[in-house]
Amino acid sequence: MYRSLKYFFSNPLATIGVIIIALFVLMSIAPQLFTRYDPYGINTAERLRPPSFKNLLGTDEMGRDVYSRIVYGSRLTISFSVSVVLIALAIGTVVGGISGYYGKFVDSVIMRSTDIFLAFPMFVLAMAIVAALGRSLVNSMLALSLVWWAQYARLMRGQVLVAKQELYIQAARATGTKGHVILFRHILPNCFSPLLIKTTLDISMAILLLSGLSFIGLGAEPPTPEWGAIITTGRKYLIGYWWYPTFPGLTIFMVSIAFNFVGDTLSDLLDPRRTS
Amino acid sequence: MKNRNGILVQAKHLTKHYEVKRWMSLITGKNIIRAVDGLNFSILRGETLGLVGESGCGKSTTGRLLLGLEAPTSGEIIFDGENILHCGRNALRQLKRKMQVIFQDPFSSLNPRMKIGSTIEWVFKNFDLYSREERRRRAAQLLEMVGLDSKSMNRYPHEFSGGQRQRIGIARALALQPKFIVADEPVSSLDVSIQAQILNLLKDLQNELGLTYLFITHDLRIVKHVSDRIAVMYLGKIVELAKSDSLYESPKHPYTQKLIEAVPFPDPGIELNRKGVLITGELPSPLNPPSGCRFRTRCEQLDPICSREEPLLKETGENHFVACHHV
Repeated sequence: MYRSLKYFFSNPLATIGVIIIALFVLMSIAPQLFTRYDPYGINTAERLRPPSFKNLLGTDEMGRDVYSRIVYGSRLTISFSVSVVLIALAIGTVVGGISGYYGKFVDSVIMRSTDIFLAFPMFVLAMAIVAALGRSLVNSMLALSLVWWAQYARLMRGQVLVAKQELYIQAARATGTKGHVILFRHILPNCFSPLLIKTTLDISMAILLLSGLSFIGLGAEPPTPEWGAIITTGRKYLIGYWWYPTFPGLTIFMVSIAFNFVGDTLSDLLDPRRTS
Repeated sequence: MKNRNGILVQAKHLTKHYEVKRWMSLITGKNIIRAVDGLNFSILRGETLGLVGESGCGKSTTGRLLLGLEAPTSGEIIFDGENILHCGRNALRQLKRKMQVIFQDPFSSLNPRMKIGSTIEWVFKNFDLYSREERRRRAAQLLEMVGLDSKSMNRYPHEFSGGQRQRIGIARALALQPKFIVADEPVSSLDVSIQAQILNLLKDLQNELGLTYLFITHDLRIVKHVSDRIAVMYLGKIVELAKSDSLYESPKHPYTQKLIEAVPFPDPGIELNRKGVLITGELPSPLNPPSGCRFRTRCEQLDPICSREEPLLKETGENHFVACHHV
């Protein structure tokens, strides 16, 4: 364990990634530590002020402090993207596991269903679902989970098919272990690493997609300080009041890439071919 | 209806065919691998039957069939008087309490993410046996029985050597107090010195617990020491079946004779001067075994009858069976 941590933190990018993620998680739990402004507080006297000592990242067209909106927005963005991925992971793992382990008819049925979901580009399908259900943050979350589980199911199924051939699974069966026990106690823990890596990288993608949905007007509604939503309204102020859409955009980029670094190093760490 | 005579396991016309699925088979006809073809043998209570043969002759498959891990294509397996093929799924599971297996590879036969104590305790859990403390106690006891320190219960498989891991595998096989154990090449992947230790352990356990073994191996040097009787397999068929001593003293089947001659003698002085009548040719493909006697492509005593008729296992002398036209 200690050696794994040492390897992990010897990578500067991963270390930075972890710091950034930790920072934003802290921000989402306790935003009051970071700012004393109200993200919804309208103050038309101070509208569209450039970054200053009073407003670190400037104000928007309602006079709200951009920095505070970003801080409060982290709560939404991070909790929702993590939830989306975890739901997809939960559904996908169970479904993929059953499909891979029991095989035959069940496998065919499940795989054809995943084919349907995977046939569409993720974003387009999510758009369609949100448009049908009505615009809201929760609906976007639902839509993305519905779109995402199929990938996890495929991955899990592949892992299960390989793990099924391992000798200790035969041994488990020979000693009378029941099917579902084999699946959850023996196969799943050994399939864990690729799933973990995919989860980290997907959180990064989820942040982008969620913000993307808000951006095109299908996710969070104003005045919710979701980062993508801020950029939607801030777009028209790009010229002249550059700070408005730029900083939320940079934040999305930063957090997304932080998860990416962490996931990448994790994948190196968990790669069984690594000798050190 | 319990068996009153000494037979614990009996195989009757045991056959296992694997189909090689290819789209071409719609045109060219099905390709069938005759892994095990009409095996007939029995194993007596308390004895060790050695099963030897080249890699790919079907010995491991035979072991798996006897355990119920795979379903035979045809034939019967009678365990302790009951035909196991007539058992439902539940009965089959219960049957596993009476017969267990020791695997060949001690490295991959243990779950790398489970502590070895848990691995053994889970065997008890599978059948809802004992309380948690009792399971722990019995697992510790089993480890001691195979010569491991019970304190190592909390360690992971990779912290043990090959020989130790094989001992853990043996402990796991003993957990349910089975009567019959299939040992599938249990020492093939171990160092020679460790092999001896494990073989002695198996022998001691057999005496202590009254176990019956099917000892599958390709190593002729060790099978003599552990077995009471030996069956020699070739391409899915038994070609000779006899008591160990008889087999080594007077092997009747040409294949057995060649096998025994091929075993190196530990003294280089003698070994180098031996006239080696080595076996020629290659193992025919199990997809297309030779007609008649399967060994005829590598046999020197060839006659027209050998390619026409398949020799059946006949008794020649006391409890010594051979499948050859020339005996």
